[in-house]
Amino acid sequence: MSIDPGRPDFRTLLDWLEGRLDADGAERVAAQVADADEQTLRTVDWLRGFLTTARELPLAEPPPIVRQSLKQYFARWSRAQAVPGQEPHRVHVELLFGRRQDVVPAAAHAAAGGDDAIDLVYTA
Amino acid sequence: MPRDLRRTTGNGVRRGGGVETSSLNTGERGIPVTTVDNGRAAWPRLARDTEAGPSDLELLNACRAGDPEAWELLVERYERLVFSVALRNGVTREEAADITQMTFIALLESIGKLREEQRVASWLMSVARRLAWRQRRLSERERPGLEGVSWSDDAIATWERVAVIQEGLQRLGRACRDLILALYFDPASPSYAAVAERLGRPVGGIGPMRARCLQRLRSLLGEDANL
Repeated sequence: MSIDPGRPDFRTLLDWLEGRLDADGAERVAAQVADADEQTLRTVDWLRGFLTTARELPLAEPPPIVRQSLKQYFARWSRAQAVPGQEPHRVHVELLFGRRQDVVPAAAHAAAGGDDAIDLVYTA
Repeated sequence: MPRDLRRTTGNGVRRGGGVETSSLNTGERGIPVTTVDNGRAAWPRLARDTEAGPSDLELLNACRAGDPEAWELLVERYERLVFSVALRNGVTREEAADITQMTFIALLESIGKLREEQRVASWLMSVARRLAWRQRRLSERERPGLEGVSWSDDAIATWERVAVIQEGLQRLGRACRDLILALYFDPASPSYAAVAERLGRPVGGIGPMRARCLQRLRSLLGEDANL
C-alpha cells in the first residue's frame, strides 16, 4: 500500500472504503479525503456507488435447466425462422416450474412490447 | 471494422460460413455507430477492451443468423442478472427460473425490434422486473401474508446503476470481468483465497488486480459517469 501524502491513489481509496487498511492508514486516508481535491472526491463517489450497487444485487445462479431449456428453444426458434412465409408463427414453450401459465405469458408478450403476431404457447 | 466472431477461451463465438459482420461508420454529430446487415443505424459503438469477446450487438446479429453458440453466450452472459432481478422483486426461486426463461424468450422474439438506444442488460432487466411484478401480485392474492419470500423497494435509480455496471462489465476483458464478478457479485462473498483458487491466480495478486480492473471499468464507463 502506498499512500501519497497529497492524494491517495485509486487502490488506496478502494482499500479504505472496503475496510482493508489498518487503523492508522484508515485515519490518514480519511483525513486526506476530508481535504481532498475534486478528482479524488469523484473517485470516492464512484467507488462508493459501485460498492453499494454490488451489495444491492448479488448475482444468483439460476437452475441449470433454464439454460438447457433456452438452448432447446433457440433451436426450435431458428427452425421456425428458417421457413419463409411462416409468420405469424407459433412456438411451443414449457414453463419449467410454473403453476399459472395464464397470466405470465401475457406479461411476457406485453413486456416485450411486441404488436406483431407471434404466439407463445405456454404449458406448465 | 469487420469482426470475426470466433470462440476465444470460452468467451467468444465460433461462426461458420456466411458470417454476419458489422462495420463502423460515422453517424450524426460524428458519433460512431455500428451498421447492421440491413444498413440501419444501430447502437453507438462503446469503448471495449480488446479481449472482451463479442459485443452484445455482435451476439444479437449472430443470433438472428441462427448461431446457437451466440445465443448460449448471450444467455450465459445475462442469465444470472435476469434471475437475480426477478428474485429481488419478490418471487420464489422457481418463479424466478420461469421468469428468466420467459425473459430470454421475449428477447429472442423481439430481436429484430430492439431500438438503437436500447441496451441488452437494461432491456432484459426491464422485462424481468415487469414479469416479476405480475407474478408477485398474483402470488400475494393467492397467498396473503407471504412467508419466506423477501422483496425490497425497487428503486429505479438502483436498477439503472446495476444496468450501467453490468453493461460495463461486458466490455471488460474476461480476466477482469471474472474477478469483479467473483469478488463483488457472488452471493457467497468468497474470500480472496477462494477467488484466487477459483481463477487460478496467486492470492497476493487479487487485491492489486481488482483495483486495476475497477479502474479500467470506470474508464470504460467514462471517468465522469456517476454510479
